[in-house]
Amino acid sequence: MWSLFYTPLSAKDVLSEIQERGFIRLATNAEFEPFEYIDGSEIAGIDIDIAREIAKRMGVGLEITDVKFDSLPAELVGGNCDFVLAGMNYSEEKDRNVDFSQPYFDAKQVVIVRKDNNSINSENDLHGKRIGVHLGTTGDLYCTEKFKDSEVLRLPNGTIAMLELLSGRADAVVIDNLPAKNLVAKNAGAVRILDESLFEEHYRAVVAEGSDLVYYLDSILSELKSDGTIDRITDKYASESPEFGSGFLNLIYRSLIYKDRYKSIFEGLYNTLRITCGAMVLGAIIGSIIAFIKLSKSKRLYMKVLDVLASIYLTVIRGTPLVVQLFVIYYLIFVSTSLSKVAVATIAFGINSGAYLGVVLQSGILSVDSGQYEAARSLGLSSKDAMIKVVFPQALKNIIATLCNEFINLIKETSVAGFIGIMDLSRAGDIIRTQTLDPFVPLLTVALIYLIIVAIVSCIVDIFERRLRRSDMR
Amino acid sequence: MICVKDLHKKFKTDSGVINVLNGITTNIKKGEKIAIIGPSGSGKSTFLRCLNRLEEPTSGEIIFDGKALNDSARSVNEIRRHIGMVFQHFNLFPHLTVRQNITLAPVTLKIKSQEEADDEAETLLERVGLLGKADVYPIKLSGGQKQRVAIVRALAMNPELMLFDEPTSALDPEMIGEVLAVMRDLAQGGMTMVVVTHEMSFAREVATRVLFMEGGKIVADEPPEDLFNCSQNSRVQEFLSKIL
Ligand SMILES: Nc1ncnc2c1ncn2[C@@H]1O[C@H](COP(=O)(O)OP(=O)(O)O)[C@@H](O)[C@H]1O
Ligand SMILES: [Mg+2]
Repeated sequence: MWSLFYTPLSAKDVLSEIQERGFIRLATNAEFEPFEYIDGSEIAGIDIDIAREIAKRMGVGLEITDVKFDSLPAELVGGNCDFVLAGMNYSEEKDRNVDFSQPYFDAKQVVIVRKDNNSINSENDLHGKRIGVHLGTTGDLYCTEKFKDSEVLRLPNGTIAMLELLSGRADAVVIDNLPAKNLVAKNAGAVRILDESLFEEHYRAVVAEGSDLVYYLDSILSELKSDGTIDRITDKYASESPEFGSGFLNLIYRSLIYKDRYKSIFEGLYNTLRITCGAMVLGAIIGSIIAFIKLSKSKRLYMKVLDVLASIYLTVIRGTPLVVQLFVIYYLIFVSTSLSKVAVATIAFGINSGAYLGVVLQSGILSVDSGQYEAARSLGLSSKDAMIKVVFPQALKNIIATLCNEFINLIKETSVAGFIGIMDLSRAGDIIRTQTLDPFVPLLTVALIYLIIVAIVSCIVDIFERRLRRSDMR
Repeated sequence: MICVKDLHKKFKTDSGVINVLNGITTNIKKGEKIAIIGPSGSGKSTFLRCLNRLEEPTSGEIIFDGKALNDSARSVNEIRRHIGMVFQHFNLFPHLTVRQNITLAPVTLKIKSQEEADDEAETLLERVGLLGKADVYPIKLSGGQKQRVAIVRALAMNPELMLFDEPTSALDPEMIGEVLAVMRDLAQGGMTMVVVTHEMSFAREVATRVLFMEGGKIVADEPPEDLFNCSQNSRVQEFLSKIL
């Protein structure tokens, strides 16, 4: 294999780094029950227990981060984590950037169909059908490659694939056998697993390219296999999930109360509010600077340079998707930082809304008649006082509705933070949805909370705006 | 009080450079009331605005109380405290009450405490007959009332010199009188004033000197009785014949 050739040359001494730090950092994607999923407000699963065992045998602590499945290689490359356990298979494409351990678990890709569907009984029957897969998994790769004549629905997780199957939008779901067992158990009676599996695969731990950790993991994993630890862990997770009655109240109980699931909603709400408020403050600061630069009539060279930079900033930020900005800031700019994810996300959203607020502020200031500024200056006020006491309050009155809109947009846009693994309000809802297989209670709960926040914000802004408009009343 | 020497002002615009002031030289002595008249576009406003540095002269010198004005922000702010300005369109601060309009500058510049400034504002408002309007917002005032408040706002800084740029041009005819009355009062009190105006009767009655500007130059500089009655200048005669 390619990596074997130069590993010894560029081997990074990750091992001693971990020992020094005192804990090892695992990254995973907690949307793959039973290997990794959110249980109440904690991450649990087979891979998590294996990781704990690994940390224990290394004599260090364990830190877990939860990100989207597609982001996992980037986490390794960026040095944000030491290893990944996420039910991951070897792939040549990924091998260019990361290294794989020996397999620690053998899985099969199986096909789930509705019980009432008799037209799919083997792999060949999948041609021309609608197949639900978990985006980025080997099932996804396999089906996209193999069933070119089928419609492959690449969905964010297995639970949603399952919902598509149950609602009739998909004819089959291709997924790993262990998660498949759990999904089928939750929908007993409605679906079945085909006897014939598609292919076998082998889950491996993944580390950064050239990391010496891989040899160490190999030896621990073979130990865990031979002493039966891995079998014990998988048995534990294969047990049945508890039965619930039907009916709406039961659904609410299952979605919000059972296993303290409401706690993830609260955590998500807290993070959403933290990020939004922080980003708004940062955005206001950046926006003011941008407006100042853009409105300055100074002919000095450095102001002209700043003006060009400000224009580039405005174009780039307003011309690219927020998710991309978040990824660039998280994986390229803040790679090796001790800042928390929430802090990095706040910075990213702040930089984003700075552009929008800058433009709004600029137009607000331009909407104030220049005679106002001149009158203030003619009285001897400094330009700063003239701006703060005379121009800005009038500008604010003109833009407050737009600012309020920007804040409301930001609250909702922070749901993108889920991409770097922050539990925000939307993600909390998504996770509960994957646990209960019921989309409505978590979705409606989350929507209701957004609605309440927006109503409160609008109300506050309304009062504030009325105060500003007092001077307009004849 | 103010010496202006060979003042020039150019504006760069998209369509080229406009020479608005082409060498203005004059002295303004303490207690003088100067009326500036002349056709529209002759540079009257620009000249006035150069005096308190709302416009940056292209060349030339302005000496205020023996000190040359330079560009440093501090000296500009310092000079402006001593020069009040009244605008054609009032430029009251719409988000502040009348009282706040008047006290903003003295309090912000720490010249007076809020109480002192409030007292002074009331005294001044009483003088112009607007005490009852102290706590209303400008939008509730008529044009004449607004301009009287604007004058009071400038006076609250205790200026040594007052500049007026067509203070009655934006007013309905029936309100012109009340504003001119306030200005007349001020003149009698000994204030040094420079007034750009089209009110020839006011200029004739109140001014000690009338400057006639055309093409960015002072074409005539005479006492009002000479200029209005027997000016030898053909440009002045032509201008007066058009407006009188
Ligand atoms: N900021 C400016 N930029 C460009 N041209 C200006 C500016 N201010 C004034 N001007 C021009 O200067 C000339 C004189 O204007 P102004 O001093 O206002 O004349 P007046 O007050 O005598 O009517 C006008 O032609 C006007 O268009
Ligand atoms: Mg003018």
